[in-house]
Amino acid sequence: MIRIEELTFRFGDGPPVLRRLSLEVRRGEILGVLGPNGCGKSTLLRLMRGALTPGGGRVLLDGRPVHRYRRRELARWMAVVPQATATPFPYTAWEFVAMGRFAHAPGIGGPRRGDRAAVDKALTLTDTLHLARRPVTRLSGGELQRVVLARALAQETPILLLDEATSHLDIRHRLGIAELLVRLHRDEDRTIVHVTHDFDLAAAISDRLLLLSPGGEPLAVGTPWQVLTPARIREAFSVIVRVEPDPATGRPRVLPVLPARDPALEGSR
Amino acid sequence: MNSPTRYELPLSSRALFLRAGILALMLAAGASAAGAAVWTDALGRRVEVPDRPGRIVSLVPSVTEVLYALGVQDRVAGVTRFCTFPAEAQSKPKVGGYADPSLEAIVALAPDLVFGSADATPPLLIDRLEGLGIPVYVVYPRSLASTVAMLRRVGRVVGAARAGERLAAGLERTVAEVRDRVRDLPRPRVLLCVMVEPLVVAGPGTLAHDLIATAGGRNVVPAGPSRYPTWGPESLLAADPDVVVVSPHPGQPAPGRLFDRWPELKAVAAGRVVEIPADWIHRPGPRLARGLRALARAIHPDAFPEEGP
Amino acid sequence: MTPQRRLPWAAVLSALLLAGLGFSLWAGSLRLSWGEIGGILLGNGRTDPTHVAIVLRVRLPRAALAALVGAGLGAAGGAFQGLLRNPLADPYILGVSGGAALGAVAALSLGLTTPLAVPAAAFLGAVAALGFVYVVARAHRGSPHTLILSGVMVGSFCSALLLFLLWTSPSDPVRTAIFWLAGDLSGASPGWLPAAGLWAGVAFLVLWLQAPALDLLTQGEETAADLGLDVGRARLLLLGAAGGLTAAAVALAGLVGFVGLVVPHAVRLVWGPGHRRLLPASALLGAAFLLGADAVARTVLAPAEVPVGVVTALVGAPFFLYLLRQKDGRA
Repeated sequence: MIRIEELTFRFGDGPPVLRRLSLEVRRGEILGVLGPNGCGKSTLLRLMRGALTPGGGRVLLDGRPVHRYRRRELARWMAVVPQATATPFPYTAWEFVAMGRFAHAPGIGGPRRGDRAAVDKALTLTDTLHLARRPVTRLSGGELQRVVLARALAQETPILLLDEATSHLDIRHRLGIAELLVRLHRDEDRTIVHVTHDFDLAAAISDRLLLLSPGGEPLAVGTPWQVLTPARIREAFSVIVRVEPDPATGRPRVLPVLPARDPALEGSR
Repeated sequence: MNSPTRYELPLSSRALFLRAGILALMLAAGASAAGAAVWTDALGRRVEVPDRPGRIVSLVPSVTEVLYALGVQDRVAGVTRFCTFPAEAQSKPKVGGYADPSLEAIVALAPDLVFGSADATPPLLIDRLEGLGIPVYVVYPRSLASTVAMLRRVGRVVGAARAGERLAAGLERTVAEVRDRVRDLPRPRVLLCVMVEPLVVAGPGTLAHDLIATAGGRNVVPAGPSRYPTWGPESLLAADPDVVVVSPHPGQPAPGRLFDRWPELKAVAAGRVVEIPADWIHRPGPRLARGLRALARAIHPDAFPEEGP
Repeated sequence: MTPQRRLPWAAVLSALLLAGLGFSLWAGSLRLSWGEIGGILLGNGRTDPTHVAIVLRVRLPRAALAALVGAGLGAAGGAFQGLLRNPLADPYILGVSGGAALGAVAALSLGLTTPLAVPAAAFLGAVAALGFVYVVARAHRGSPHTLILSGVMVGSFCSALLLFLLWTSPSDPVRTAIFWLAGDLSGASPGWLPAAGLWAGVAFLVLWLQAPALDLLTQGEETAADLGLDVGRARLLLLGAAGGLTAAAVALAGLVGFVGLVVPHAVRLVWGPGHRRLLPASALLGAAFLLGADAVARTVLAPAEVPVGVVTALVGAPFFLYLLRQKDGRA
């Protein structure tokens, strides 16, 4: 569905942020992108949605270079869930989510019946229908993030791109969103690419993972068990970890190896 | 009162002037040199001036005009860039504008007397000049009578008392003559416009107002917070004056543009919209006599048949 | 504390506009009865021709001008605030005021005193300044931040040139300019109104059709693009239309302050930020507000007139503070 060929990118004269990355995002899969800060994860998402132009190589969406698409056409293919940021304009949550319908109904007439249904459905899916009439300036961080997700869902696109969309949510909402992503994937066959720092969540919900090195090179692509090995994680993040199967799901769990506490020292306190 | 455009200027604070004056007095205390006299200026300040000042700087266009009329132009050392009459005055060294003259330029001319005006010369500048030992004589004429007095005072202060007396008496004669001729005539309602776009008119408390009254007219502008209020066309139509006097400055839009639009005005219908050069009306100097005659003729054409336009 | 979306904005604001129009026709240095004004408006008044002239040729064109300028500034202010994602933006923020002032003063200094010279020069100055700001900012992809910065710089530069012209100029033409720049509804000729109205109408229509784009732009350019907006095109259209409205308002009435800043805020506090509603509502409220302010300016010291900008700020600021307190809004 999204085909990435020999992709290289740099900002200005700086060092490359991404180096010779090739990847095929398959229809209906959940792909998790992991890597240390500054390795180009978010840049990769930007390149995938044509917000940046590749320095080398190309990104094909359904066989066509992504930057050849018109913005509105693209917005009917993929929706983006960024990290929610405060907005100074007090739109109601409903109005805010309705902005997701722009690609379908850009005119001055406003949302039609189908658009309204899509907005209500997105609010329901993200458990935010009760917030519909509240101004987004008055929502908590978790509420706002779910409303941002709802806006992307209202776009009704086959592809969803999530850029650390869950990282500042508490555990309940993080799990709620993870569950929702799995459901969208399962019931509606949506293709989901999500960038995250959360190994366990990525391993739990993703079909495949992409691990990037600090220099923006692909270290591994494959199933969670193939990618999340102590050696690769050490190479990417310079930390020592153990990887164990989760007793419930059988997926890998990454446990940091902390320096052992000195029993003598603890005793002397 | 000395510049044609003073309606722009805020009324200066008398208190500030008085304080400046007291400070100047303290600084000058005891320095009573021989051949000098102490005068009291228009603000009540005591100013010590040499008997026959030889280097005079005028910060007031009308005073510059008076100095030339007194015949002491050789002793004028500096003027403002607005001192355009008589034409020779323009060749004198310039010290800046009347509201923002340069202290340095004034001091560089080493004057022994500076003329300022109460509503244009910055109080701080007067203060600093006094601090440097340069006497500043402030004038403040806002009526015909005070203009007559000013002509006499300036003549005496610069040591040309007889010439000053002559100028003053000449203006007094004109005033008396005009008064005499209009005494028993009806008093038409007059509007005097300082600017046309926007319409700025002269109200009570202005020299022009005094001129209108002396010339046998009634000013239609009522007293208000501003001596030179801005009027909309509605006020013009509602006032409907018998005579409109326009005193445009060079570069102002032609008055016809405003008045042609309102044929229902009495003055327009009767062809009584009259132009008089601004300097004749707004500059309290020797030319005020011409302004007064022109105004009187505009208001009472039958009583002044001999006056040229 | 949700914004009161239930108040029918079109009805409320149209009523306000009508009230403003009535007040404006009634207020003036001459007291006329409602019956007489009505008779004159209906053309069956056998009254004093001076009164007919005052109502039909003074007050009516002046009211139309105030309404047009107020509507233009209100709508343009709303558009600039959304476009620049800055609630403190006003229609003059992108150098328009400086450019217009410079144009007007340059025309006056050159001794161009034909009636159309000053408004035309002001209009050209405003458009030139805005165009220059846009070209400079486009080098940095025209982000709101760069737009505002280059707008402020161009404005400062124009102001410096303006001060220089004022300083070197012999006096009176420049004083005309100062009155004009303080906001002056008496300068425009009624004959210009149809053309100005047509221009403003077209500009407003372009602006309004871009309202959904404006909603998206408040979310930031990247998000707007992700939601399907061609950001560059939308921004150019919006800048052109809002700038055109502002330039026309400035050309007609000088720099009337405050309306473009506060009217969209007030609308947002009461009816929310959606631009499909905010733009027409700001136009209506701006028109009503300037009608009222001008009527006050003409009567409070009658027969003298007070600059209308003084009244807009004196009346508008306390009212706005009151609204802010009532709604505890964050608009």
